[in-house]
Amino acid sequence: MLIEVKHLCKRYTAKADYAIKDINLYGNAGEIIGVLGHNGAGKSTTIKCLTGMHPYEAGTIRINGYDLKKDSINAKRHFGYVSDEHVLFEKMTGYEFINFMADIYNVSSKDRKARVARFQELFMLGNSIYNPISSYSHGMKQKISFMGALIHNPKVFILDEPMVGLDPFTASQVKVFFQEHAAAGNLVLFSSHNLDVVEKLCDRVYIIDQGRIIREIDMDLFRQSGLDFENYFLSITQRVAKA
Amino acid sequence: MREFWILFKHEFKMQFPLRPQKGRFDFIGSLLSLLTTVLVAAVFVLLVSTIAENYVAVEIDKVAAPLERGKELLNLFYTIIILAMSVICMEKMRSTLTQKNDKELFLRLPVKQQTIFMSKLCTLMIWNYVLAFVLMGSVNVIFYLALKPTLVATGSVAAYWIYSVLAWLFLPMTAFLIATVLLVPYIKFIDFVSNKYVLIFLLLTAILVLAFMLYSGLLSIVQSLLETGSIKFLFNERFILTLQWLLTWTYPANCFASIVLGKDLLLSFAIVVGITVVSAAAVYLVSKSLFYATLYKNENKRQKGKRKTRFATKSPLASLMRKEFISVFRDPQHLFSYFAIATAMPVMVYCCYTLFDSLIWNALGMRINFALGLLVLLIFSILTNTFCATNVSRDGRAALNAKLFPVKPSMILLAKVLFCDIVSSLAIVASALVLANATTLSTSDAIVCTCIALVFSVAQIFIATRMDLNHAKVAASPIEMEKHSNRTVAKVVFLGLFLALLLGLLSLFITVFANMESIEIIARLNLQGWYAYAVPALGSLLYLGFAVLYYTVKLDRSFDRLLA
Repeated sequence: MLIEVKHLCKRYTAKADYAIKDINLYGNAGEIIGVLGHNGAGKSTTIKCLTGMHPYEAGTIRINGYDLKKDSINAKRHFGYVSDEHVLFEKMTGYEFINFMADIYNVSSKDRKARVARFQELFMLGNSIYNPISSYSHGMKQKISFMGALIHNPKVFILDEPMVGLDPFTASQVKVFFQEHAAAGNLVLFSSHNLDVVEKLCDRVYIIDQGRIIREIDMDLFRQSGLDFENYFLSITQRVAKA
Repeated sequence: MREFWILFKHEFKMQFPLRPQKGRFDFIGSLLSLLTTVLVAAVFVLLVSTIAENYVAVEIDKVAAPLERGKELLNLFYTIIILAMSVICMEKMRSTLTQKNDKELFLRLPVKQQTIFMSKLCTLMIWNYVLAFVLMGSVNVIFYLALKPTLVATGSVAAYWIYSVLAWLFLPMTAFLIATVLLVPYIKFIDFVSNKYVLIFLLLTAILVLAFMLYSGLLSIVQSLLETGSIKFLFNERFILTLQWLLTWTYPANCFASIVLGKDLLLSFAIVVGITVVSAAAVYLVSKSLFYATLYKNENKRQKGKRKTRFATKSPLASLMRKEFISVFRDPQHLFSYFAIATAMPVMVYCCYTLFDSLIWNALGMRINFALGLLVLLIFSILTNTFCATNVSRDGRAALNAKLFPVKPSMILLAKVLFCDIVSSLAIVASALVLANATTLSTSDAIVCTCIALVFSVAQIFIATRMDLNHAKVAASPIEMEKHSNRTVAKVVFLGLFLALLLGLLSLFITVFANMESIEIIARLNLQGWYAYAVPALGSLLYLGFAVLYYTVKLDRSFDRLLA
């Protein structure tokens, strides 16, 4: 298992309600996993806990077998993360940022050269990676975030709202990349509001509502059922809200 | 009109956040900020009142003319105020007009561009009036006290205050108009230098060195005041005649000085009104074209970087340190606060050392080179290291990226500490070299001073970094974050200055007392000369010990709590 989350609980202050409670999820090599939910359902909190950005009160998170709390350095070596905010080191150029990330993850010169060339083509960045990040558009920052997160070829690729800001061509390339990355024995886990993308791309989907996982859906089985994914998603989230 | 008021209220709240911020009240931080303000104001008032009192009493050809002298000096101060306000206003206008997020939001609103522009300018104008009230108010009160006997004798006390209010009504407008006229070339200049970091660095360092030389000139006035009890001798006839000639050209400041003192009232007032009308017309023409130019200017114009094909690998620590260098070197504000100050430090240390060396020699008839050299080095290294109190918070939300890195938090912070230590050590060593070669400080004393200052500086960097980590608000708005950073900076500076003064003065007193064996009580203490070296050395080592302890305890946990 590349990701294993058990009984994860998180609240932002001691007196506050739990933002997420008793989250259990897992992900295997070769899978693409989607995390769905309304705004404020707890998707981003879950993902931020998975990446070690937010500490959590209870539960365990294991990335490629490494406990995120007890062996955080090794756990962090095995994932790449693209946030929905694209807060980057703006004074650097894209090239400097990628090199910086490669240094942090101890990527060899040969590997980083090959990967940068590949990503430059994939994201159609051309020579703009030599410009300062502060001059980039939202989409460009998104692409540089992708490159920085993938430079060490992580076993687990975690993304928060990855398609926002991408042009249609790049979005399509990214989807192909997700499939290739998973096919190479890695795991891709992302949160999204785009039901269409999730339905077409994911092997499994977790639906989060009010800080809890309310459904785990095997998408192969779901596709065979002939149900409409959007209607299904809306019906179960509304049912929980009414309850 | 309704849109104008809505926008104006929004701008006003942004510029004058009168409502207290929610959250825990930082008593120590606020107290230290208040103390700093009071200290700066006290120095300003003391300096201006001393100069005013001495200057108005100067006699030319054995004839005293307090009102004439008062007018000259008031003219000089108004010139300085107008220049300072114009520069501040120009920068404020540039930043207000080019605030990207704000601008994009307003462009979408169904409001005329002129309305947005006017709402911003009106807020800036109010800000200008408040600033003028503080600056002119304090100068006019000081001048009133200096000229009181003459004003009372001529029965023009009421007129002085009425004319002061009249001058206050027009002066901020003049500064504002000058700023608006100069805004276009200023924005073009800022655009020109925006990516030329070496040029910015050289310019900022040159400005800083010049400003400090001016400041040390002022300090030498204070020195002569302390030595002679008066600074009258500075204002000799030649000096005053040169000043008088210069001040005849300082329009409209000389008119404001005349108005306040009731001299050539109608002519001066006519000139002020004339200048204001002509400037207002120029402002209207400039702003009409300027607004569209700045508002639609693509700030994020593509900056062409150099193509690179080499992918040199570095260790994570080296890479983190390089990132620190880039984030400081490519930000003009950071470049000034750190690199320019560190580069100018040898000049500042030299000026201060020579000034106080001569002061002590004249007062005590002895040289206390080591203690003085140490004190000066410590104080300026603290001022340079002030920047380290933003080591974590200056990254803003980007600091959170570091939480993803597969390196220990201690290494991420160590990179910041090491980077600061390299800069600070270079500045200290360069300053000590200057002291050893160009002043009365011996080479051996300079070496000991350097060693102690290096230890003290590392301790200060550790404390500053940890204090910032404990209080950083990386998720807050830039204004809120800056406020918290300022408080941390104030705490770090006060702690450092207190300890530096303690160690420096202890060393100084030991040196003085060790030479006073004739006094029985002191002789009983049996103070040896080497104590003057040992006490600060031991003190700085103890400080380092405390700093390392403070820095390391629960370091990783504190880092993990950033935006938790």
